[in-house]
Amino acid sequence: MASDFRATQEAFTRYVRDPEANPPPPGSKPERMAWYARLFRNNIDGILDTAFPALHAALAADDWQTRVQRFFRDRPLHSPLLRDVPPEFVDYLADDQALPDWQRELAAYELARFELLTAEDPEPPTDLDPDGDPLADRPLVSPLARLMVTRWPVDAIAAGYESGETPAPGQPGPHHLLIFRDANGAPTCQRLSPASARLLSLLAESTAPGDETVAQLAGEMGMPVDELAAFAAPQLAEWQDAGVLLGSVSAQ
Amino acid sequence: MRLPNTDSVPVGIGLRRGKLMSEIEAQRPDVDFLEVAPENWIRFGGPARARFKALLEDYPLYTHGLSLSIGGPAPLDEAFLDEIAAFLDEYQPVLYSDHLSFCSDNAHLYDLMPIPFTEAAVDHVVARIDTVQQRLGRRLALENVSYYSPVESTMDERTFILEILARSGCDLLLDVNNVYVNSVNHGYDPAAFIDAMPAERVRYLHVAGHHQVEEDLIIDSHGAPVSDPVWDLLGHTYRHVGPVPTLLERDFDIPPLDELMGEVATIRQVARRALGQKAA
Repeated sequence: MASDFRATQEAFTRYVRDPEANPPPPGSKPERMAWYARLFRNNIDGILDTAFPALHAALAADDWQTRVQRFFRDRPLHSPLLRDVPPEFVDYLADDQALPDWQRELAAYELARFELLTAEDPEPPTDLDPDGDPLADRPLVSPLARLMVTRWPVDAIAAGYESGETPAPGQPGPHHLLIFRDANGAPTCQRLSPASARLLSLLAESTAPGDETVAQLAGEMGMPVDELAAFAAPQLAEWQDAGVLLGSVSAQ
Repeated sequence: MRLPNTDSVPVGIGLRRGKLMSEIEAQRPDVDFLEVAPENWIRFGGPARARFKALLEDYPLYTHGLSLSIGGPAPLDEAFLDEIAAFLDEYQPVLYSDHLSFCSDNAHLYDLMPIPFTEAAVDHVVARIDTVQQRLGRRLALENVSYYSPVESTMDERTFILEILARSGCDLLLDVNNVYVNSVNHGYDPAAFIDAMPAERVRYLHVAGHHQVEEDLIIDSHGAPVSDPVWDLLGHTYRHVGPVPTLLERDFDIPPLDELMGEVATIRQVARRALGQKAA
């Protein structure tokens, strides 16, 4: 009498997730099941390597593999879409005490880029004017623009590893990183000044016309409004060209 | 829109983002259809989506899913089925297929595992095929999968597939490479296996390359050119099933498009030879 087929299936998945701790499923050939365990692990490794090339390069080979292996063993992955695996990995690494802070930040940075590759296009409101005046009207920040404040210069660290170097960790920040998708669909990163970063985060929350947000920032910074506007106007125009701002809508 | 020549076997290639997609866009290769995994294009934005739609102006679409887990032990993921349904409604592919296997327990493993070949598993799969077909409002084609180790079963692979076809309304995506791989891995006659499949239910064929790692073990890598014994078996398959649409599968170490097109030409040649004037 055969086992319940579900019990066999569950023995199969238990084994491939953790072949060291579990017997191969009933009726199987152990040496063939070892191939399954290797292939499945390599598959997950490949997915994560695609999303986190710099983190992979930054970790010693054993440290990477151990983490991939434990992640696959311990983390239930409920999405049918492979591209939902990398965010689970970053979430999993959040509890990883052995991982230095800069590597955790590097992982978050690489995830932001990976997600932008595939992120769905924003659906702009019908009254959006893509060439609107971001000062007179309310500029709309693209939901695909992400502002990250990091302690470590992870953009430079990632670029270093990607070109095959071993970059120095660099100076602790704060570093203000604007990550967005360019017109060709490629994730791109810009360093912002603290003032530009603050302006962008205020714009993202505000429903007021752009010039009011600029005035609010001038107040925060103790700066004359005109002086800040002279800096903000070209910045807003640049963001609009780059798609960081989708355009403007009439202010409420 | 290209209209397939009704006398010949429609031959397609997989569409994957990256270099291959750019080559397909630039060269507009002489293939009869493109195949994608819906999972790779669901909830997907950016310029690639518009490029995908533009290609579908020129090529019919076949879809081959990865994550349905038709034989999985946990309940079907209904939210996922709805996403598949929306994708199929939007892109109107010629067919939707997935694998006669399971790829999840209560969570996904993103790779294919053999369903134990038992009566209870047949019942389970048949009921789920019904659910899926009703939910999607279309026929499903399921692929015979390669596998490396047997698991506890009460029937052989051939009987399992035949019972599912007999009792469900689904079609068969006959993966000729997988038949060959399994014939080596599990020691059976691949031509006899093909001959046992009901020709009228074979709606789609796949061929692919593999890696032989041991004398009696082949890993179904989709990372190499199609092997000679699989070309022979493909000819045998055409003689049994007739001019069924055929996909050249290549998922890893993808060569330049012209190299893939060489294999596409071989598929057409194998079909012509096997089917004689009918397919010329």
